[in-house]
Amino acid sequence: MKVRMQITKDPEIRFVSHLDYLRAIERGLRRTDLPVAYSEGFNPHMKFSLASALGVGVVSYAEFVEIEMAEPVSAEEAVEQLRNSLPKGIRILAADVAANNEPALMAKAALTEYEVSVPAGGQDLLDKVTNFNNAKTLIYKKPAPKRREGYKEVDIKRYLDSVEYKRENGNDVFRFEIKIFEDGSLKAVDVLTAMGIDCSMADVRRLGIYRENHGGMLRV
Amino acid sequence: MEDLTLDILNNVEHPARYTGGEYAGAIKKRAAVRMALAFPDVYEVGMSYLGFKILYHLVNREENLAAERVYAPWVDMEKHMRARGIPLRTLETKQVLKDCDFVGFTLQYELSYTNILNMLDLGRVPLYAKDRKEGDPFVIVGGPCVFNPEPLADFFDFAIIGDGEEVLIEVLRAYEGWKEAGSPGGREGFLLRASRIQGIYVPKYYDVRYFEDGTVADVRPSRDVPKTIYKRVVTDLDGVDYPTNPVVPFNTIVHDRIMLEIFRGCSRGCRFCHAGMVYRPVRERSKEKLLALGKELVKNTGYNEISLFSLSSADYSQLPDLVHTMVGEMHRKRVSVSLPSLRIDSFCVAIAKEVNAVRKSGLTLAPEAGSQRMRDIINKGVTEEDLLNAVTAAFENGWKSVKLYFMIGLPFETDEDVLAIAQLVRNVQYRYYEVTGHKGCQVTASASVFVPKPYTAFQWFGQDSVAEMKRKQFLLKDALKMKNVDFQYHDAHTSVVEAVIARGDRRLGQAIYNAWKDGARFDGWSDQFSFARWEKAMADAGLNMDFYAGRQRGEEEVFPWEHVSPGVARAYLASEWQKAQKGELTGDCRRSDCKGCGVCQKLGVKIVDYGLKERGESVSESKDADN
Repeated sequence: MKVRMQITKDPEIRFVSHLDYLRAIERGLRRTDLPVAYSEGFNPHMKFSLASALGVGVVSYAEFVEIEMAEPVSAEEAVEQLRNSLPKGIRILAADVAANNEPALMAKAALTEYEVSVPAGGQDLLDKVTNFNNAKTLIYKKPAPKRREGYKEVDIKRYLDSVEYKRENGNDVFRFEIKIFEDGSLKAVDVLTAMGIDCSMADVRRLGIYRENHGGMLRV
Repeated sequence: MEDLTLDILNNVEHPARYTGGEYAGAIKKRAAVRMALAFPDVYEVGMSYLGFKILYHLVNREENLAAERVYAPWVDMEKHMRARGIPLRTLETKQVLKDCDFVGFTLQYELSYTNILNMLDLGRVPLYAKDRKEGDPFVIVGGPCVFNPEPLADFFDFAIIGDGEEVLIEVLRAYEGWKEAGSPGGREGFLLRASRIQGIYVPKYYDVRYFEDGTVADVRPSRDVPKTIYKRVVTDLDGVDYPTNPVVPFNTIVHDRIMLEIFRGCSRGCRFCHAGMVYRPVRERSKEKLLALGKELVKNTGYNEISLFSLSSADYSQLPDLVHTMVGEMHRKRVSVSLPSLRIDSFCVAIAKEVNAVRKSGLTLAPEAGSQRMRDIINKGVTEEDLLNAVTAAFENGWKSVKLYFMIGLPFETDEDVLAIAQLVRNVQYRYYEVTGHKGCQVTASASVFVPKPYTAFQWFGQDSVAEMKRKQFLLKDALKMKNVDFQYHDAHTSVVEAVIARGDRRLGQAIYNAWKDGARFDGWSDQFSFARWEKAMADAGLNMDFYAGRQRGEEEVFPWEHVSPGVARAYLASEWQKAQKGELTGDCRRSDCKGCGVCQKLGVKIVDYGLKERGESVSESKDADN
């Protein structure tokens, strides 16, 4: 069986890399007495996985970790033990248990919701947002260092129809949902950069990951 | 952290270096005395340093005392900080260094000294001790290089000599008392109080006079302070609290594992080795204590590897027992046990095999020199046969590659000695063929350039010139052009600057300042180091590198560091220097008779070795040693 959890990457640890975040969870697990399963061989590793690599600097309230257990454990027990052994900045929001052969949660993921705020400049950005919401296509040269040209052309509108916008406490705040396709998805800053918005001071937060029908990934 | 905005953090390497918030960090908002434990290199290097893990724990468990961490920002971050006027802060409560009561630097490596100046400058602390006023922190130094603190004497207020566990708390409590009493006498008042604590060195209370030829004439106290400051020694390691709840970093650090110090000191007596002299005598922790600490550490940190750490871990008296028990206990959580250094014999390979039961790692051996003549000169105490036996055992147990560490530029070295390294590598490869019937044993041979250090038998030795170092490097490189051999060596110039500072005097302060002012940072990183900058810094200070590095020192010469002492007698070092020239060996005093280094007598301490205790033996009567 495996325990599945929705966990956070809070603002204070946003600059921890994906790999280091993964290891922080692993160490957190080893600090508990949970019967986590290990692989065989010379370099045994804990059997757990974290869906979707989050960019360095991005806050998330929707990371999904799946931990294989060698013996049955209840979700409550797992949460109880792990809660106190994770670093501050990783909180558990929801959990359940599933069979080992249950497909990974992220296999069902269809939408990622983001909130991005940038310090407001002199000008209101409503025009830019309205233009974007009304546009049929928006071609963007997404940075792709591995390609010869250094970028890949994508149509931003394939991934989302509209962006919500408001000005709040001296910030321009954007909220939107990006679709996940089999061939990938977009970063939140890709969307705003394509709209011509300066993202050097952007505070990016992933609010949720949802199924196609907008259902949550896990029960709370 | 507030001033390190998102755009800055988004544009530097490894931003989590600067944001803190790691598991088990000690955040004390209120404290009567706050100290910054400052490591003059990047986070990943500094977080690996055991000494600060120990001090962090000991200070923070005390009421009213707080220790916080601060590391050198990498050059990319420094640029942002200087462009926006952002000061250097501690990771825990984000104190600017100037607002701490103490800023304590560890001196691990001479080429990190310009980073000390840079961190003080970024932390808004006046660089020179003489410029610090009431309200400024006391800048203190400790660590292994403190046994020649003179090149930094202008910059720190006082130094802590030797083991810091007990004396640091004494210093902080003395400060608390001084502050509570209304800071009588101002800064000077506290410095005088501090100078009364054993193991504390206040450089401005000592005057240095020089002969016309530039060598030291004498060093005399100008106040009522001891003529020689002897180091502090923790006599019973089981008796001092060991950190079982260290900060667990997010970033991958250099030694990313539990470090369990199994003993302190090493008395094998290798003549080039600084650590082997300044950490004497050997003091073991008991096996029972270590097993208990190990369990606690795994539970608290969540690490999957525990390193049995010391200068020569294979010398631990109950190693097979300790390793066997620990490997068994750790298996459930798949925690592997590792040894950082291996002695060259097959016993060690057997141990290595056991510790690799969980995770397979490489095998590293340090013959240090290629020829027997040379190994005898440095008192390494191993033969080629020992090495070949060790690799035989390794190859029989499945290892296919081996890493060998050597030094070149050692005293009395000839070209034959250098070339013998290549022959030794060849013999190791052939042994692999004999054992396995296959060719293709991968050998990594690394040769560093020898740097003579204070308080070693080689403190008199004039280092090879750069030209000579390079010639030897090329000689060896040519001889090692073999299949499956990777030869590693590094820029000879860094070794020269290291040698200059290692045996330097107070006048070097000006050169260090010049180099820093001219942009020297992270001199230990080859991509940041500039020899031309150091040449200019030395010339502008009116100093000559060869005087410090290349000059063979006189038998009777007074050394700039001798008023700060680890207790090793000069007469002993001189006799070791004589024996080196004749290729005579000196054995290990740990389980045999005293060799007369003088430390135990001078400091009133003794060897702690549980192997001796269990056999009911005691170390035979010590010879008298004069200092």
